[in-house]
Amino acid sequence: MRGKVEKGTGDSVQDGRTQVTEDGRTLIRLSLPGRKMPRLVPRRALVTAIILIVLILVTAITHYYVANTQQEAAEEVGGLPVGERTEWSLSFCLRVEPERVEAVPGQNITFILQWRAFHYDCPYWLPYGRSVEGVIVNTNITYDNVILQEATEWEPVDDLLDTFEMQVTVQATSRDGAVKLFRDCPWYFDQKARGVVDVPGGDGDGEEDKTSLSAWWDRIRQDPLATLMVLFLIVAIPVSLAARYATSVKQVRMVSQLSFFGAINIGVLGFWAIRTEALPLTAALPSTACNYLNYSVGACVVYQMRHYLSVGFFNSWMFIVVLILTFLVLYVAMGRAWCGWLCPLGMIQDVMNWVRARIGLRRYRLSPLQRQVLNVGRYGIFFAGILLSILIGIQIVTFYVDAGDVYRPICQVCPAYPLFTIGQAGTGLTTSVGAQSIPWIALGALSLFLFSAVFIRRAFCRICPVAVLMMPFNGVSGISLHKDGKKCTRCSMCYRVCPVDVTEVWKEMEKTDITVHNCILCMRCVEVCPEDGCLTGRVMGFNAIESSYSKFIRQHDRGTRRSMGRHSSPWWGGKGKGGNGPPGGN
Amino acid sequence: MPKLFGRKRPNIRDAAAAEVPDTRPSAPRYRWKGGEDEERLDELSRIIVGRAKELIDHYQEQMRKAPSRPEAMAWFDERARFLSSPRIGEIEEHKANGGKVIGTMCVFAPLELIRAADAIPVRLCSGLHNTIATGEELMADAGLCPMVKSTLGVKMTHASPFFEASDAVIVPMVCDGKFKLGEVLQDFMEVWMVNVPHIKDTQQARSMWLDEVRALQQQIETLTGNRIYWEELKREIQLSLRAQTVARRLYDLRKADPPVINGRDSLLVNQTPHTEDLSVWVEHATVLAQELEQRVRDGIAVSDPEAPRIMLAGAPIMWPNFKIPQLIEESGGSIVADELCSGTRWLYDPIGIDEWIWDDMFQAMAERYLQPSVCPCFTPNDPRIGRIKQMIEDFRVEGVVYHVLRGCHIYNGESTRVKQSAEDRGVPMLIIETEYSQEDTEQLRTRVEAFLMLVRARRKKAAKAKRRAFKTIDGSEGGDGA
Repeated sequence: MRGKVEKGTGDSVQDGRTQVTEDGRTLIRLSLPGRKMPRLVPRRALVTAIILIVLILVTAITHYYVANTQQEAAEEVGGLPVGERTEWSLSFCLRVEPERVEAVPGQNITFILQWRAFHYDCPYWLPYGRSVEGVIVNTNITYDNVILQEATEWEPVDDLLDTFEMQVTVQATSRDGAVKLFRDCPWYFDQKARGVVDVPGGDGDGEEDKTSLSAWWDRIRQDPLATLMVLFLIVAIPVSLAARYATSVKQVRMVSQLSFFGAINIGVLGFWAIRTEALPLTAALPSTACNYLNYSVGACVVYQMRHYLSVGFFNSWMFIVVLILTFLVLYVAMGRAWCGWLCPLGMIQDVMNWVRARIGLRRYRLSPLQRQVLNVGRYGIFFAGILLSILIGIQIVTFYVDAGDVYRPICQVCPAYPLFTIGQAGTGLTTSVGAQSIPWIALGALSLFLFSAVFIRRAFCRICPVAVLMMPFNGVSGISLHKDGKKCTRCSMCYRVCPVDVTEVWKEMEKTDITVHNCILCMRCVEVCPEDGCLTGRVMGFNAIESSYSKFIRQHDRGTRRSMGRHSSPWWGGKGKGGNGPPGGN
Repeated sequence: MPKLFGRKRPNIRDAAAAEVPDTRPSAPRYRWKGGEDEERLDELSRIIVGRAKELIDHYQEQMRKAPSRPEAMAWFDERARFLSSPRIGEIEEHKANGGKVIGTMCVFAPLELIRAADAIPVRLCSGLHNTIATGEELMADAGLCPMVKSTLGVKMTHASPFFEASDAVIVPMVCDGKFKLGEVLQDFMEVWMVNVPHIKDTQQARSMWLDEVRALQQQIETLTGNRIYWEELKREIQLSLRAQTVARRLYDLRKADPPVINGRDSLLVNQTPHTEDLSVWVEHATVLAQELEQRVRDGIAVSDPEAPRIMLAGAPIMWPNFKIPQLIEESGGSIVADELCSGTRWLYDPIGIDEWIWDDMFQAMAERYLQPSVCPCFTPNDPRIGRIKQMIEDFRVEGVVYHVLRGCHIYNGESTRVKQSAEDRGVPMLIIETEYSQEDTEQLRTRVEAFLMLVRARRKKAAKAKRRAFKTIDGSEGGDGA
């Protein structure tokens, strides 16, 4: 930008910046011409990074204030002094596989029990996530005698499992000292505690357990790195197999979504991972498994943001690390490829879309105005939720315990929460224990989500608040979409197949990097583009997927492949044989 | 896709929603005395057909003379004698069985819909030069495109059996000539005019075009009496895809250096499906493609390897108006690429189906005709310039011959821009503005030969510069000494 002003008094004229025109006026160049400095970090990424850092700082300061007031409040109410060793009795309801226990009814068995108590209702008196850990000093177990306590809502549903009722006396010290236990608040012991029960013996020496498969997995899950490796393999093996044998990127993406969904979000591995002591590491995985799901590995980023803004992470510094790791892995490396390839909500929407196409119903295409409104709504939800979280955190907004739903500003409108926990005892629809039941507003969101996902492709993705954090990094991250405008015929196929109606891929002819904010990098446009080398999907600068006519034609019916000739090469490159001869032997 | 609801056609409402324009005049709009005298008309028709046959024979003879012509061209040669081609018998048989024939013009008529309704599409843009005088009796504009006048003359004189067999003709309103041609033709036959949006990127243009195609579907269904169902449309889209795949295979084969097929032959191959059954064409084009692939492997060339590689661009060159390609290849040039709507553009762009449901298939089929089209009737037409640049690169083109039909303003209007962008790439361009008549042949020959000499000279100069640069870098010799 070069502006010119007429010389005024002349006192601010410097050498190199003045210029004398033909008519004698002296002009001052406001900015020096010259080579433009390349911008290393794009502005939008920088802005987001600054916003995140400010949020974390605000939270830390907030929580410092909150923690102090909490301590004062706790002492006012007359609770136990901070840091005092507490002793109390609890009832556990434990399920143990019968073949692993040969206990005589009435006999005392020693359990090695690790447990964590979570409290859902009072996010500012006792933050969820700040676990209270204890040591068991005495257990009293009655076999075959089921007594359901008030707080133990998880009822054994499987007949194959026997049920223990156990009286445990626990001594515990709250870890950060700021925690005060209130008898009036209902306590819920997380179901995750049940899985850690280890019964020594059966035959006395426990050799059988060590050789079984489950014992081997028990050992794996003790090692965080091994857990990560298994996790990686469970996703990577099906995806690489699909990449080799599938005929389209769409199929590979579906396999990726399914295996990720199975492995991490609902899968048995998530169940193991949560029981390890390696929780911070596995929680650093970019999993958007809903935190309210019992065996979820981690929590989605919006959950973490809004939760720790409310309750603070004053002493839970590990979660700051988790946030930053998530931030790095999810945003910087993947961008919004997360949405296209791994997100479980996205997968469910894709499945609904597939079902709709199978039935033969038409899809509804949002108009540009509707898309814009939804995109603005995305920011509205996100920033309103963040603001409300901060207000809760600094105790400007306080509610009664019964109104616990309000303490979850974004989660209560998120369809993932009811979707993943709908059949889950304790937090699902089946029970109604205080704030653990699903709020009605979330059920409404779920219904809307499921209905719109049928007729609109990726309907929720257009308003998803998680994407607010991801969007600025799309195009900066390791995965990007490139276009060679010279080869484009503007056939608009890329626009027609796009699940989120990105128009830039179709219309942009000059720029090569066409990764835009709304693009979820599903690479469907690359796959359908019939021009060789027009669109390219790049991973870390390498061409991972390149459009070609052979990829295009392979997605269509077998009948069309007959005349393909050189285009009959396998999908991931490689030269195929020549075409078959024409029918009739002409 | 399983058949859940039998024969699927879920959007009957959409097709019915489009309004069919009522353009048919109650009485003829024009008076044409020549049409009343049937004897004279028959005589005229005989003369025209006879001369056209002579012309076709002349060009075919010239094409056969070319060295090492592919054997698979025999079928195309037979079919290209379209005034006495065996295809006429097939169409008559189809009509005798109650089938319909629907004529099309330009590249915007949805052929899949026509075929799905069990009708035969034939492209009626004419290349006959001696019907122009008759056409001028009703469209007396000296500055009007000869193709429009020729097409009108063909209908007036009943010269083309394909035109006579057509029950209706689809005329897209792309340029002034086609615009009025459709209006005049309404005196002679049923004409379905189609609005083509000239800005095609916007949402409103897309929806308008979809509605236009839906109206066409309604007209086709009314004429043929056949409802178009999901199965038929899918079958025809797949047939089109097969044809487009073969066409692209042939397109890629023309990148071979030295060329394995003559430009004229290639143009002819691309124009045969204008009237042919596409499935039959696919088979024969596949044979040709295999033969050409074998030639690439064996290194058999159809022309001198040193011949300048020429690209043909501009206004459509319809068979048998092969004056320009004939001139270029006679003068020693080799047409390795063409950017003509009667050439590679006719079958180049495929139909991409996302979901095999009616709506998406229909939309994909309709948009295939509008969006990738680089007809200069659209604005802005940057994709065409980009496309030509890319073709120059892909086919290693050394010179562009830009063919303009006199009076074709939209092609002529873009010629300067194409010339400049070609020259930016170091490729000279020759603009030839001509008509169908043979009068200016010798004059054009001189220009074409001069142009080819220029191309050769440039190549020599470039090679010399390259050698010099190599020597300089090598360090052994400075300058061009020794």
